[in-house]
Amino acid sequence: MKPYPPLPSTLDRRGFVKQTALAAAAALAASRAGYTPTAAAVTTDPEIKWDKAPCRFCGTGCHVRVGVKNNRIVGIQGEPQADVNKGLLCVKGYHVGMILYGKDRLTQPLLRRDGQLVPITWEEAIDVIARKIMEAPQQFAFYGSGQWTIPEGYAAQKFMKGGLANNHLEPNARLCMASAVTGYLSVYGVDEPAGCYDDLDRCDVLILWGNNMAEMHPVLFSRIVDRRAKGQKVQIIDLATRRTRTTELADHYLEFRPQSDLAIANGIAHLLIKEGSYDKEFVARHCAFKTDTEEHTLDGKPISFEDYCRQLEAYPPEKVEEISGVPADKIRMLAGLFARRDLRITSVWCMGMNQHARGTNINRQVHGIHLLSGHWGRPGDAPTSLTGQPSACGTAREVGTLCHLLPGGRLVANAEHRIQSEQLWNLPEGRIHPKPGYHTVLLWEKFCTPTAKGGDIKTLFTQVTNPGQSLPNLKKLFQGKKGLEDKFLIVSDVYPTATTELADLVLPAAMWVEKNGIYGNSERRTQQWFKMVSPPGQARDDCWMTIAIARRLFELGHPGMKDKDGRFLFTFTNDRGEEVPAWKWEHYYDLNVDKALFEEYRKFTRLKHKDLAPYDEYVKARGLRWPVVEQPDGSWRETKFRFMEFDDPYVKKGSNIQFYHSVTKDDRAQIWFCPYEVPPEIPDVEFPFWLGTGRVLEHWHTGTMTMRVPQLRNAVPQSYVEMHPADAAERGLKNGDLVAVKTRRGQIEIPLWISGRGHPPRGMLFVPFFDERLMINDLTLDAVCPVSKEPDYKKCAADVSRVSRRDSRPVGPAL
Amino acid sequence: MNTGKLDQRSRSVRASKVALAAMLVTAASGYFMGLRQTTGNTPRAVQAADLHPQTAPFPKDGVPKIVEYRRMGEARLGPNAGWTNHLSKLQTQAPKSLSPGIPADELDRLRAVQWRASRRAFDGAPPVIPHPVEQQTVDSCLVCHQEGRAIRDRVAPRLSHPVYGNCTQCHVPDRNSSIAGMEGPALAPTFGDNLFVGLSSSGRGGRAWPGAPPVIPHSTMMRSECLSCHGPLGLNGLRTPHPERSQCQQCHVPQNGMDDTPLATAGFTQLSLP
Repeated sequence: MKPYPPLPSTLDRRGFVKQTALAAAAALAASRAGYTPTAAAVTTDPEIKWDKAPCRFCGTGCHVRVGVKNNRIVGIQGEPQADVNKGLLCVKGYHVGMILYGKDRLTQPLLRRDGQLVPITWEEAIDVIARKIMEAPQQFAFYGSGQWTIPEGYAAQKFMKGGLANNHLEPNARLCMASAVTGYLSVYGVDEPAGCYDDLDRCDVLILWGNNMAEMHPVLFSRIVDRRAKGQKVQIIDLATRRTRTTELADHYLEFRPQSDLAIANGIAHLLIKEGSYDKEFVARHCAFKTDTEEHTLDGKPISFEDYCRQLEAYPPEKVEEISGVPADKIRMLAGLFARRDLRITSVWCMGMNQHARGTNINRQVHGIHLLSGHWGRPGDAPTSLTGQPSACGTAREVGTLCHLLPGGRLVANAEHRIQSEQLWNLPEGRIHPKPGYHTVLLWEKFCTPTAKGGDIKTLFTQVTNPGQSLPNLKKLFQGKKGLEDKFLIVSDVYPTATTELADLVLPAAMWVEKNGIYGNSERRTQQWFKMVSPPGQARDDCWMTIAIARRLFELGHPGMKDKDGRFLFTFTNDRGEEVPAWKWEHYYDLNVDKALFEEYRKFTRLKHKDLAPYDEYVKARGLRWPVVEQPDGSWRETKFRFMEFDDPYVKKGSNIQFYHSVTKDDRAQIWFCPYEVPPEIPDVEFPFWLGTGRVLEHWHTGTMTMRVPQLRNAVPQSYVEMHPADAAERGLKNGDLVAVKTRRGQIEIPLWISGRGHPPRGMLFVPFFDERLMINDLTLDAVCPVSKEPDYKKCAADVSRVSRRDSRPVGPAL
Repeated sequence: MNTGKLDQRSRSVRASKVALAAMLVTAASGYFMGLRQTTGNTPRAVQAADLHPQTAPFPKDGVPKIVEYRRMGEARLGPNAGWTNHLSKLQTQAPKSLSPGIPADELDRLRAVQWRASRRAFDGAPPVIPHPVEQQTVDSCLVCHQEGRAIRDRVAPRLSHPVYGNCTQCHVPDRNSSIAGMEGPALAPTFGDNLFVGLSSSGRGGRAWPGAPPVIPHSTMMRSECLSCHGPLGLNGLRTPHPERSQCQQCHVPQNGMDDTPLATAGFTQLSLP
């Protein structure tokens, strides 16, 4: 920084003097007069109003303060009153306000006519959608995301399953946390972590299972590493397939071969059993045993403790070393840590364990090690999954916007659950279809398959997500739509994306603080915010779109849009008892639709003891962790630690720990045995490299928001491929070379960055997926975990070769 | 003779076997020691040096200029291409004098404010990094920024907040310092500009009466180290005229409003529904 920077040409001394003369004179006069009004003593611009909101990006759920002046955001601060981030943010969070102001915001509905997207009115757009649905209501699908607010997801859920009797409702969260869900369900019988972020303040050892926390959940990672600055001792163990920023702050880096985490977990359990260092009392009191079967079901097969031990015998440390590449000593070191009861151990994971061909199994196994060793049930002793989207938990998981779920953890296939939902929605009995819809990968496959060949999804509506970039094996699961005349894709979004490229109808959406919202973060925390600025042009709320479409269907005579008393599904009344036509945009904010929907949804949350407080409690708080239980004095108390008597009011007194949703109905959690199995695709002579994908700190998911923030885009302006220097040297490749990365599914040309952000071992490539011009998901594999149906983005076989500059073609779509 | 030769050969074979074994043992133990050395007790600088063999920014056209062999000695390559060697003068300069010297005027202040604004999205946003950085570790940041230092006309400001372990969580390289050079002509620039206009300055602190110490006009969150901007190495115009006094908040106090002093949370206003 130079102390005397040149003055910008726009401002010379004379101009400046002129400009400030008046203000200076006024100030001087005021000070000469010996008096300054008290209000003026606070020079903070009084026109700026600050209000709270959870950050728009990841599942950490930091709170920000949004500064608004003249209906525009002018600044962002970390919210010091928020438990989650205590005033700190990451670089995305500090710039989150700018995501609203990309120059190319979508501002009007666009319909494709003769290949061109042409402006139409909202009335026309809603009518087009309603008529498309009316043509074939059971061949319509609704695809949303973990960025849907809770009321948006709830409206979609009610509209689809309660209104259309159609279960083809999925969120993109299937691509990111479905394996965590099946893990929790098969271990505890109920979804979501028992612990919370407070564990990070208390643990002595933090184990990162394939999780580059320094970049992906930086605020939480700082919460841990900053403890060291306070003189506390916390050991960080980085179990990973490549070196990252996280590794630099870790005490141990254990590099394993893709998929071999299954063997590592078994190796630890093997040693705990063999050395008798497992927690015998905890296991006897709180656990039962199960094994995965060849059919890979959610329920598995119950086994005895002896059977469990016998199956683990195949995993002595030396064998694990052979499979994983992690030295046997290190496996012993890990088992040694779990054997110590004086330490508190927290495990965290995110996509490394979830986007995994055996995602459910590795989730089960990590829970299993914690249960087996008794590192469960004290603050700091917890296995906790993190989420990548701001409301993957709150909306996708809790509201249940998945093809097999109903709100509040209910199942489509469960008759009792259907009846409960029909009653709460005041629907005639039998309205809800008993068969689950298509899961994400299957849904898009059906949409991209010609109708004549069994592709029985004809109209697909996506909100708040960008499947044209985030689905795996894009040629098959997204590009396949091209040329299928009878398939109709409706996309609601804020910017042009890879998905709007193929859209037949594009709807401009309001985003983040342009609308009211409620999100639920990774630690069961429900967080509310209010609309603070107007959306641009004709952009409107996603929730309004759903209600308006439902209303149009109601007018067109679709019988499902009425409840059993003949009233419209989304009937709202104001304080005076008058009906508010919320389907008309000009009346949408006549009442708080979010509050009305949330109060309705809240009734669903008791079944699984995920009780939510009234809306107004969330207005006052910086989020509350469920179950939020009413106290005798009328106040509402959040729960930090579930199933633990000292904190969870639903635990029977005297039981210490009670898994009250146990699948075996005996208050026990299940410890699973799951074998190591080879990945669906492994490197061979033709494709000798592993290819993994992921994120970088600066960009969030498909980059549609962060690539429009100059500070973030400038930091990492485009995607790249990481490779080991020795592998590059062998192929004569240099830093910055344009290389072709190829798999059996596709090829991209991308620059090589050696020894850059991440350091893969030999034989491994890594490409971030944020860049829509360098679409790595053209290459990834669409193999899914057999239980969770979540795809594995972290490993497939690839090759890399040089592309000569002259032959290189321009990459990326022209928007 | 033959036997002797054989003996000699087998001896040399044995010798080379021993040598090989020794090498393997050294390599293996070195490898595992290396693995273990992610712990905090290893000097960080050593690792940093290992980890950035070639982080050269790429020329705009993507083709690195080939330097003639005879010019190698004088050619500047790699990440330090723009670096001038002043090793003999590499020392932190003490401020020339603690006395205020010529008082800054309004224009100096405005210049300073504009300079600040060029480095951040809005007042209160973390500034971007105007120089290339080590992508993996943050240890090198603190070498200069922990205390702040000036070397010739370059100033590395002192941290404005307590030391956190993860600098690049909030501070990211700017366009000239990132891998921006990689963006060759092959990639269509598909992303539009951003129309965000942030708060450029928090303004100046008001005084209760002439001669009263001005109050702090901005949040002190992440800006608790006043000397970062207002100390002797700060920009003229923001620099304090009395650097000899180091207890800033003895006289200058944060204000209810944008700030969050424990007692001052009432200024947090919630917007009502539009």
